[in-house]
Amino acid sequence: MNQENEKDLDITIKSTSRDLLAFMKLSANRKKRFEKASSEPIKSDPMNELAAKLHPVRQFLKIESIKDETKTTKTFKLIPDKDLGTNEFAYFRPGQYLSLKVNVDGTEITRPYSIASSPYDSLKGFYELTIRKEENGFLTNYIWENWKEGTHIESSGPEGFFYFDRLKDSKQIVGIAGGSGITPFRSIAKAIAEEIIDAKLTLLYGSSNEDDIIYYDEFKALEEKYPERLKIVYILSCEVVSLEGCEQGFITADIISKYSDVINSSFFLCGPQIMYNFVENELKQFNLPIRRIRREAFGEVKDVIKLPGFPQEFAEKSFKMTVHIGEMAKVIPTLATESLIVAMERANLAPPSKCRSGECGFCRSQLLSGDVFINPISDWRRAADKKFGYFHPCSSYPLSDIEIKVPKDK
Amino acid sequence: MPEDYFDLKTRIADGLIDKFEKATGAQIRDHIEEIEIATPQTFSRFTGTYNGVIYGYELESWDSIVPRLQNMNDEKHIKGLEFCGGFGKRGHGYSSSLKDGETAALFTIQSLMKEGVIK
Repeated sequence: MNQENEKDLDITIKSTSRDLLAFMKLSANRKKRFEKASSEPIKSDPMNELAAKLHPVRQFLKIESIKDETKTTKTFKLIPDKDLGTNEFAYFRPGQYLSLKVNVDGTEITRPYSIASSPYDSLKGFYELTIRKEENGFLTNYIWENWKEGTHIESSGPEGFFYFDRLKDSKQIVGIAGGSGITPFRSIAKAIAEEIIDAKLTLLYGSSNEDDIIYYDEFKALEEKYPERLKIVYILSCEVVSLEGCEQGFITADIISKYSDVINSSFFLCGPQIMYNFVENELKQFNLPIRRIRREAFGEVKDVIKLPGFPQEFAEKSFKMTVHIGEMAKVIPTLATESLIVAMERANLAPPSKCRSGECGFCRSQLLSGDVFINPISDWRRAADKKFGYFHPCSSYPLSDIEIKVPKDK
Repeated sequence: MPEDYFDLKTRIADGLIDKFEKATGAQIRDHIEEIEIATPQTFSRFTGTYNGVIYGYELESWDSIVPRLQNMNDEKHIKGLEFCGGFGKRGHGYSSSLKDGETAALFTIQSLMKEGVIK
């Protein structure tokens, strides 16, 4: 055995009785500590403080100014409503939305709207929302008639998953926007210009008419200033196109491959259902992996009878729904063609909801009895949800009298 | 600062993915379809736990599982009320939470039997 090894074996074995004594005293020592301790609750909780700033349950906003973008579109600049306790706005990821909570003539509803301003703007104290007036739009008609400078608005914190993530996405983003689906791309484009996002954006923006193009001048200025990072192509479905640099027609596979490096890009889609149906079909021929295509949730589906699998014989039917919400149970009328969340809002039950696309999980409820049709495009239930009867009322339609249990909104 | 949060959590996840790939030799980065990075802020947001802890806070040695279990019968302050979970008698961790729930259930059954409510 050499000297070094001998040194290694030079171990002193101590008695374990000290450890045993320590064990015996544990209980008494703990009692002493309790007696000496302050009864004041711990106030400092930096993680919860930061979480409240990042994810406020409610934000109160006030309209500072309104800008007309097109004949049917306005941009609302919103500042914190300090009188109602919101002193600053939550920071967000470009592409996220706010769920507005609006009382429309006695009916409380929610609607998701993408934040159109940059995340840096939220630090400067404002958000911008661009809203298009819809024909017979329940909320937008109300907004056009009632929203003025100084109007108070209530919203959620920033929500949603329609954002660039460098762990997953290519640094070449191809944005495909239809109509007012352009709004999140304004935030993304600004974030790229401000170097919050390290990526290049090629935007293919479809509109029906030249008059309908939103942010034309603004995007042009951004494109001229950052030609390496931003490229915008307008695709117009009208017959006569006079604007410089526009394509006439639809966002076809040819257009997509003409302006982008398809195989090496991440695609972000935001627009109406009809655009998703068309563009997703066009994208199929490129055989892109799922991870390369991200689609923004599209909110409430307007024409449920056109959805694949909707049983047409139910189109005219109406049913009763028993809703258990909080401590209350109420029987309300429902229509097979109207989502259950709308039925509950109509009955003033104020159910929780945010995305209205079966995605965020805030309205997740339990189906106690009866049958529902679930929009197959917005069916984001997990396997456990399916097994134990949980579903999303915002993307479900009744096919019989039903009974459901809904969480109470915070 | 809130504006650093998203970048910071992405950097942490980036490092974790690197370490995972080095340790296992399995390349996962190019196969990520969806990614959500949970942090103490996430747990604060959805559960409101103290400092965003996920399984209950870490116990100090003077207040470990041993004296907690030794004293559990002396620390019942309201009749019929049993505590359980990641902040309970066995401390943090999900197996501790499960076992603690079982213990609380057994105590409840025991007291109901004593009272003759169940046999």
